[in-house]
Amino acid sequence: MSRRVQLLGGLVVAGTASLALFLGGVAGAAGAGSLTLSAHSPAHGVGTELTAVVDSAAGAPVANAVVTFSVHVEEFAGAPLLTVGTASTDAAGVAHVTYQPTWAGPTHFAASAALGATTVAEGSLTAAVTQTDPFAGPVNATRTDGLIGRWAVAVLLALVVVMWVVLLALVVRVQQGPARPQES
Amino acid sequence: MTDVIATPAPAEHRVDHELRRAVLRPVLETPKWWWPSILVLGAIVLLGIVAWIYQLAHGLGSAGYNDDAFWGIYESNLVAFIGVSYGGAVVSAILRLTHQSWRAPLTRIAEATALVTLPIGMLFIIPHLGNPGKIWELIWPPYWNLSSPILWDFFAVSTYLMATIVFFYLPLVPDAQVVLTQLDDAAPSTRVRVRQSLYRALVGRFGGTPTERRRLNGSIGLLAIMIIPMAVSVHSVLSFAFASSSRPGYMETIFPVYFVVAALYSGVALVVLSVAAVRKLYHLESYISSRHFVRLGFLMIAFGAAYLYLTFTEYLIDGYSNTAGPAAWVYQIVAGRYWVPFWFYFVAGGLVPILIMAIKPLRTMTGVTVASVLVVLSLWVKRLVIVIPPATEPLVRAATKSSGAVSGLWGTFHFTWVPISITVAATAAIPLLLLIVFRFVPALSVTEMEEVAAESSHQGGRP
Repeated sequence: MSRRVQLLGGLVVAGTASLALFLGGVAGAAGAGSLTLSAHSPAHGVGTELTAVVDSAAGAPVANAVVTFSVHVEEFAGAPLLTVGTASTDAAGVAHVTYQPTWAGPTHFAASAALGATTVAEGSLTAAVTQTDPFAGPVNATRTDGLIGRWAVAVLLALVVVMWVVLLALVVRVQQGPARPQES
Repeated sequence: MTDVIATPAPAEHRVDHELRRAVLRPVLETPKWWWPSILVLGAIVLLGIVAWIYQLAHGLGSAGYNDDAFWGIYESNLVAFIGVSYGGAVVSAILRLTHQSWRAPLTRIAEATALVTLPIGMLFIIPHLGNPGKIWELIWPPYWNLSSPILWDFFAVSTYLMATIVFFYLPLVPDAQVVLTQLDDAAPSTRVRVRQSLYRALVGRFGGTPTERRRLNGSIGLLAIMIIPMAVSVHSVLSFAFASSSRPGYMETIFPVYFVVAALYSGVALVVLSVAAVRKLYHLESYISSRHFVRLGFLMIAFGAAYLYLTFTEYLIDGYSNTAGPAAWVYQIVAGRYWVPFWFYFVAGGLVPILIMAIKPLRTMTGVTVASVLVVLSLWVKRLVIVIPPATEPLVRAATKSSGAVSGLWGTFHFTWVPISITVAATAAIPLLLLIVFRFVPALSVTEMEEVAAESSHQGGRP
């Protein structure tokens, strides 16, 4: 399921949100819950304020759910979701955190709401970030997109293996006993 | 057993019988103080284990962690203990590579210190994670995360541990052969047979011929070269866990070299303390003199001066940038809520040791030992200053007001009895493990001392 969401402010100019519904134990509500994720400029300071609205299947706000906000990153190997903050929903089912993007361009955000150990709803949002933390770098910078990371992982793992082999070879060399004829 | 020690060595080997007698006695006979020391230190370690079990039952909150202080004493201990290990190995490697003749009585103690402190430091990751089951997910595919500096810490530290074991083991081979020779003449008993099996395993097929000696020394030399960049990389990678974050106070490009120099500084200090303790306990006053302490002291304050300068550089640049995050963090450390531990480090761990080494009457064995105590203690405090302030900064995840807005209040890490007990236990584990190691291994490298003495007598100098 997906829907358009209202994006406010100049920092994030456009985005689409997709909602994934989960059957879960939403307190006071039976059936699926929903999480609507939106992004906008904060009232004070810089950054992107991520807001999640958590509703029960009946459409009632879910209070006291812990919402974990994440951003998709691909700076090194893999493509993990980096947690940028958690917040609890208020009586209106709203939770928000402020995040400072370091890169402009399409950015994938995600949020997950949980009551205790049970995830009640998840949502995601792809938004076009137009302004970033001014100290993070130029707006039109080209990112590595994991290029360096992939090579670094291979080279570093190879180095680790080589060092272990050399260390074991040194022990064997000393323990091997009397010298061979050509050595003496 | 005393008779065994007094057994003359084969005539073809010129040996210093007094040296062998003094060094091998604690290996072949149990000193009177050994068991009481083991019991006391073991009890302290047990207290730490009890505290850890309590933490397992009650959660990380019992160790002072909370939402506004997500890293604390365990991370500091991890850095501090691995750091001192690094110092021991590198000091030994540098002295070996530069063929310092005065190194001979010190290398075994330095290498043993490195050997025992490294695993203790590594263990701190377990209480730090809270749930020990996470260790498996941290290091094993497909759960591992190659993007995580913690995983690379594991690769680096485990490789360095392997190198430290080999670096301790190789110079031990000829000494194990000496001990084995002594045991061969001892009255047979189960204890003697067990020990003989141990030393035979250590010696392997090494026979001590000149060619094998050359091969051994070549391997030690190669390893000494390897272990320096390896140790540098280990502590650099350890700093990545901080430096690769976006948190002011952690995101510092100076951190890799900063961590390495701190490790060397505190590592040399711990070697001094280990040497002082071993010298006193094993009555090695004839072989370890004031000269050794003063030279180690000079080495220590050279690293100390470099560390002071790097501290100045880091704070100057962050403060001068006047950006909200770094400047606020520097203020809190220098003049805010963390000023006491910071200035304690600066005075006790920076200025006083330098003054002790600069003023000649203070430049004694006692003076260097006192300076080393101050360095080890204050560098541990400095690690707390590195770890805790940025972890308590009021950033996105900081304490919020009822409205949901960030409160602006700094978080607080609480020093409860749990992490303090575990820290004290880990500290006690250092002498405990050293006592156990030196119960089986000569505290001084007998063959190396004999070799250095022989070389020195050829050259007409003193060792």
